[in-house]
Amino acid sequence: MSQPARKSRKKLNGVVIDATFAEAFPMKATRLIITAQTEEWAFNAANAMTGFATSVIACGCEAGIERKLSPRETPDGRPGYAVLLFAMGDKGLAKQLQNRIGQCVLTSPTSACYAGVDQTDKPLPVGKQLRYFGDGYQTSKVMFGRRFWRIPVMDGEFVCDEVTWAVPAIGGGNFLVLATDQAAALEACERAIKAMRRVRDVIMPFPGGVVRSGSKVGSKYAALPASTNHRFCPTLKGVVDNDLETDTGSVMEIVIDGLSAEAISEAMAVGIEAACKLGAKRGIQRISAGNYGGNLGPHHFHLHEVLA
Amino acid sequence: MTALTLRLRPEVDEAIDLSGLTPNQLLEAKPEALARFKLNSRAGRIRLADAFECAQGDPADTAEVCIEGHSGLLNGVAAGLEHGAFSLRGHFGDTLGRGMRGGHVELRGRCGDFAATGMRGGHLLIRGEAGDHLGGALPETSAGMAGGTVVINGSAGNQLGNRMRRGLIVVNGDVGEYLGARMLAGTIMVTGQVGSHAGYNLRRGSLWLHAEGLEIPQNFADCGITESVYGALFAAHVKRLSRKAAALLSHADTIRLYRGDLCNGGLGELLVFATS
Repeated sequence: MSQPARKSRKKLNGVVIDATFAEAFPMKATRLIITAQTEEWAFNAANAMTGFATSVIACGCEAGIERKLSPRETPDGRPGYAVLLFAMGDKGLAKQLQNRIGQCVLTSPTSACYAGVDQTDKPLPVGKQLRYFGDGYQTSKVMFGRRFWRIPVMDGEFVCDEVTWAVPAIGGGNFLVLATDQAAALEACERAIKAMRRVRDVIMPFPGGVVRSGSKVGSKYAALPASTNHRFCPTLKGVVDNDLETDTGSVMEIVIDGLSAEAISEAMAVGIEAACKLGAKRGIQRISAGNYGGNLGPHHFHLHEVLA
Repeated sequence: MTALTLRLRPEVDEAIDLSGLTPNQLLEAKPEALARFKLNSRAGRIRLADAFECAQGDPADTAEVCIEGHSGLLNGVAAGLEHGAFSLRGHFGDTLGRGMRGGHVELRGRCGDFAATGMRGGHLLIRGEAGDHLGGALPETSAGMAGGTVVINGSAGNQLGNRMRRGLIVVNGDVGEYLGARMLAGTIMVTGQVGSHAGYNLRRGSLWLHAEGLEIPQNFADCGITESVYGALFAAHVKRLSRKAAALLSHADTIRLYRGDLCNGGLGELLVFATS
């Protein structure tokens, strides 16, 4: 990861905003709407299907709960959750969908699963494959111009769309919170995540939305595609050429995947503003961002422009 | 306002076949050419002007063609329709909307037998009564309705949906015997009374029926009360076509599922809704 530019600094509530940018790359994504008889069971299904999906590096996809849906917002009038899944391509996304819906949503009591994006030219099978679980007893119905599958299961019937659709998306939006200690960094990130969860079309795929082990591309070990971002590790200050102040004790990162550049910009802006509200006096020192010198992806989110 | 109105002359007393006549064809023809259109009738080939009074409207208002009929003499109206819209008034004959693939037809009046037979797409709305074999198969054919939607705000006759394969029929009224007989798939909803032998030899497909006065055929297994997500989706879907039908489903106290016909695989379903 390149050294963030430190020139022309800007401050927000005493917190320095680096003149640098987050570097993001194109992905493919889809949205699913998961409903159930109660909000709790809809959450259980959504939470399970977006588990182990923090990074495409080893999880196959990045996924998260986008937001809770009221019964008025769901196709079947029950409580639900919108989830977003991101992968590097259509094939990978399709495979992850199959596994995750099949193992985490189909299995969850009273659940149903619907496409949550407008039609594109890239269909991704949902019920089209899962229907075979019905062992010949499955039936399909065309409603609202879409085909739904009804699969008999032990608690009644699992209903899902035949397909959802892959849409162009962006992965890897990010910013870093540099603080004097872990408690301050964590509190700032928690505030940021709380604010960012109100933004549509984005997810923050790491646990609780925050990642403490930001990575760089490559490693001294040839087998590893990524390794610790040593430039931002406080325990390596003075050992390696890093980018931390002497009193910086903790750095945490928030990664954002979104369906559009606008959505990621908005999420970054509200997140940074919320994090900075804690202020320099309470240990928040700097906001920076991760990039690879512009070589990784075409989407560059400059912190100063995002906050303008 | 309609772009063109064809009014069947009162003196006409022979059946006329209008199949293949499309709104676009009628609207694109100049008045002189329109008058010379040849139609098949019981009396042989006749000129359109001999059978109809034509009144041109403003094509800019709407691309709809209105046909006013009487005595059930006009057969095959909108047969094979792919695009455009017909607005029909009066008493029409047989095979209305036969083999429709698209477009929109609205009838204010009643129609004869075999309406929507072999229909594959589009929307047919009948604000009146319909005859036998609606959405079914024509004699000597094996294919019933295979797509599209039909809504009947009135009663329908026997053998509705016979050999139906896909699509949706909603009847806001009563239907006769052998409803959905030999259906392969598709959905039929009836809000009123249903005659005997509903779902006879049903292979797949769904019949939504009102519990009141319904006689469940012997070849159906009672699967009990169902808490159906499909029911909620279906109610929302039907709401676009018939508020009355949707309201009945939304206010249903229970939906009871019967599987059958057990003599033909048992994968069809009667979804019987009860309202207080």
